Amino acid sequence: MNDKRFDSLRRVLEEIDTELVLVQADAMQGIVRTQVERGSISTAAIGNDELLKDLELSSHLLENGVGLIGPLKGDETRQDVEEWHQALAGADVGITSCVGVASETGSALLPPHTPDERAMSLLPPVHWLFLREEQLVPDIGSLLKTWQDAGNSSGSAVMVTGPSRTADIEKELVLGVHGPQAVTLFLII
Amino acid sequence: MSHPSHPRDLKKQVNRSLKARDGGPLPFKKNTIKATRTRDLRAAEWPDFEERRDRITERRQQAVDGLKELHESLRKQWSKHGITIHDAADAADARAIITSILHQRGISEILKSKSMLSEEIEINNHLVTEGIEPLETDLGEYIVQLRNEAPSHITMPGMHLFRQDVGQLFADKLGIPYTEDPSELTKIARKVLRQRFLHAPAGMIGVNFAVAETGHLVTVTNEGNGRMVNTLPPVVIALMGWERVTQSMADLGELWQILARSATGQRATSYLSLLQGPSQGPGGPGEVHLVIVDNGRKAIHEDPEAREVLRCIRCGACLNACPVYQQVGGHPYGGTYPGPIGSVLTPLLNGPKEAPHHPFASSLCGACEEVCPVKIPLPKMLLEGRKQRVDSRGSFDPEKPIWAMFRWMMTSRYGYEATTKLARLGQSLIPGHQVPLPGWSDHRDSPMLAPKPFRDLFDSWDKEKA
Repeated sequence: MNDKRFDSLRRVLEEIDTELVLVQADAMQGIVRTQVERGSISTAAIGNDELLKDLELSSHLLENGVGLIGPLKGDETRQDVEEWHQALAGADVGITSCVGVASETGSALLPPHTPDERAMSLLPPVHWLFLREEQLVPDIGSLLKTWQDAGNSSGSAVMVTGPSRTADIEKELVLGVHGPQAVTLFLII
Repeated sequence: MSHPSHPRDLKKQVNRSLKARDGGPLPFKKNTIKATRTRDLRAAEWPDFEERRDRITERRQQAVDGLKELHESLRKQWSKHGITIHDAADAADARAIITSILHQRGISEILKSKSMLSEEIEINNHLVTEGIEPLETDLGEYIVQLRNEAPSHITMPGMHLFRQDVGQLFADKLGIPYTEDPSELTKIARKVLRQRFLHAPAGMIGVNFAVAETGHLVTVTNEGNGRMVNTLPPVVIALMGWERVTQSMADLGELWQILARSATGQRATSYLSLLQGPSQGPGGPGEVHLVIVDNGRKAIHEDPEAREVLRCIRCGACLNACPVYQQVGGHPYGGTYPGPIGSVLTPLLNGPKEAPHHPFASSLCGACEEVCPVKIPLPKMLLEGRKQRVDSRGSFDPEKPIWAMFRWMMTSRYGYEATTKLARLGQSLIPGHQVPLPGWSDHRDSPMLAPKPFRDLFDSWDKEKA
């Protein structure tokens, strides 16, 4: 789907090696099927974010034969946690929503999660980010303000701008160091 | 890291550094020029860059001026969110605190995200002597750790290396087939470090800024290693310089963006981690220890002129722009911080006697001040550093009689005429009329005084006319 309104956002995202997929909410089922096939997804880590529940992502993934890893329950031992981290690292994709995305830089603020939910966008090699059109803001200042105004700039959060990268060897850009190697932004319009 | 203690040692270090490349191309020259160009491009994207920079500078100075009060707010926030606060007066204190935290918990390995402060307090060697393994996880730091050397740049530790160096290093130390492709080498590092991340008993992060409004400890990274070590291990140690405080989230947003643009020419780094405290559940850090390091910063704060250096956000832009750094790289400077900022900071932190050559390792071209996002007057401070170095020489300073003679010569007519007459006599005795001055005369002819000064010639012409 090609909507010209988001051309400049698409360009900004391309510059930070992030793919933009425009989706209509009722077309979610088809999109999930396409993406699962495209990425050969067999396991996905997915949290309890409101938006993800509204989009019924878990059901769509299950329909396509994708195994799901959810957040920790809270009663695990340290040993359990390390095994769970190991499982996350073996997942094909981690799925989160966000507080919003700044159009100037393509930065997404992930909401203050528990550490296990933060690990979902860190350990799998691919990160899928979902947001609604209304969550787009102009710049980083506005994004941080949105977070504060909502009364929840509390808790530990992370701002993500594209996949992990380094230029530590001769200043040559390499994508995918310790964090994800690919990020896709799904914009619900 | 050895400190060259005399200007002549600096020359020796520089020569050694250049010889190591056999007169061939220098990695730091290529890398720094590229870095400066991308910084300029990104700065140009903000049409109001200079105004924004002015505002950021003003806010940063306000933060520095108000550090004592901001720390009071911070402590309330930190206590509220369960952060364990440790105050370290100096490097030795910081080392003892960190070691004790790890020993008490029977921890014998800690994974580190990049922190120049951790280099400043020389924690790695100390931990090793205490039976604890510190493992660097930032790719550049991982590389220099394998090479058993110090980083040569504030944000790009391996600035002094070519891909062939890294390729050979990995082949030797990791036993893998030689490759010099940065992508392949990075994949190898990812693979090696991944299992270490997943089982790390402790992580250490550097704190780029602490936000007074909310208490968040902020780490700015690109690779994801910072997130790994502040999210997965049960114990996190955060290392923070006393001056690294910003007032609010809004200020943080501005600082982060100008830091990214100045350091790496990015609009934003891949990650901005905001750690507010330990987590309650089983996953993640149940303990967050914050070690706040003074190590000379409070003393600098007391001096209103020196205090300006505390605005520094460690972007490294001044290193990239400096023609001296571009030629010699970071290691010849000695000390933790190289380049223009290092040349100002090292004598201030360690005393002028400890780093005597630093303020002189500059041509005072001013490129550093032009690119500094927080407008630190580095050339002015370098001159002040020179003055302090000279003043600290004690009662006998060999330069004093020379300057006294020069002052007499230039302020008294008799002095001027007598000295130049002597010079005219002397120069006729010099073979080839070339004054040998080390370095200077290698590429220059000595300017000679005319056999008769103009004022004498004019007098005789005047008489002829009459």
